[in-house]
Amino acid sequence: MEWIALLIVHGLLAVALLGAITHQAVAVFWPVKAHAGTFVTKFRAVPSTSYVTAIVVLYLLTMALGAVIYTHYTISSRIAIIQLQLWKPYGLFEIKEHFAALGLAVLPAYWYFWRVPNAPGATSARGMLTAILTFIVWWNFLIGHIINNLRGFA
Amino acid sequence: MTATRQFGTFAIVFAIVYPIVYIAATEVNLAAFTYHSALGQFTAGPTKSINGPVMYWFGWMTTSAVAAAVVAGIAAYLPASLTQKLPAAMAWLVPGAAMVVAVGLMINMYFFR
Repeated sequence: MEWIALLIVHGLLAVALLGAITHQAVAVFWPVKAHAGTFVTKFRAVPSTSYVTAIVVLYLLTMALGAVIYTHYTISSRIAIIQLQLWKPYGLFEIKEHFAALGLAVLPAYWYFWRVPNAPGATSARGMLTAILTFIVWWNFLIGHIINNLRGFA
Repeated sequence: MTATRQFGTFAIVFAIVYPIVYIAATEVNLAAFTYHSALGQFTAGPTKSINGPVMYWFGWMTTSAVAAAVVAGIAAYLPASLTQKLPAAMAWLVPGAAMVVAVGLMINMYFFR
């Protein structure tokens, strides 16, 4: 029962992270030129820098909780997935695992280039690091759902 | 200003070293420790299963983070004349390349069985 509660909290944190990083990525790659009142324009017009610390904290919290749940996954769902020889979903989850770990590598640089915008090469580095983190968060969110929904495993 | 420059150097070098060590750690199993999930026990280094599944992932991340932090920490104290030549692009190029390598390894391992 407590594993399900942890999984739900992990999912809620992931949703918050997904929203924050997507907002920031859209504001970076599709900025508004002039203020307007539509929902999409407002979505694009968020002040990106204000999201940085929240994204780093949410990434670490989501990952820490995911790591705790992962210990249970290895003795429950993963054994069944191996026995059923569901190698492609298994491989997709392994990619999620590696992406989450590699995301840790970029967090200090991501924070630095957003907080020090006049650093050499900051503009392109900021955009690319945001893109990498956005890709990781979306991949891990979607694959987490697929694995969770796979034959009712949770 | 010096602290900011030093953190910038640390962050870029960390982003370069961590992914390289991580991919190496997964390939030759350089886990700092092993977690035996069925037993809830930790053992030092990469060890084989005592009973049930073993998890090296925590150990791989620890190895990578410690190695990267040490190298990046040393780099942060190098003279500015050396570190200012460090391209900012390396902070995303190396992790991006490591992600591609990780995907390739996983596809090779699990998608052609």
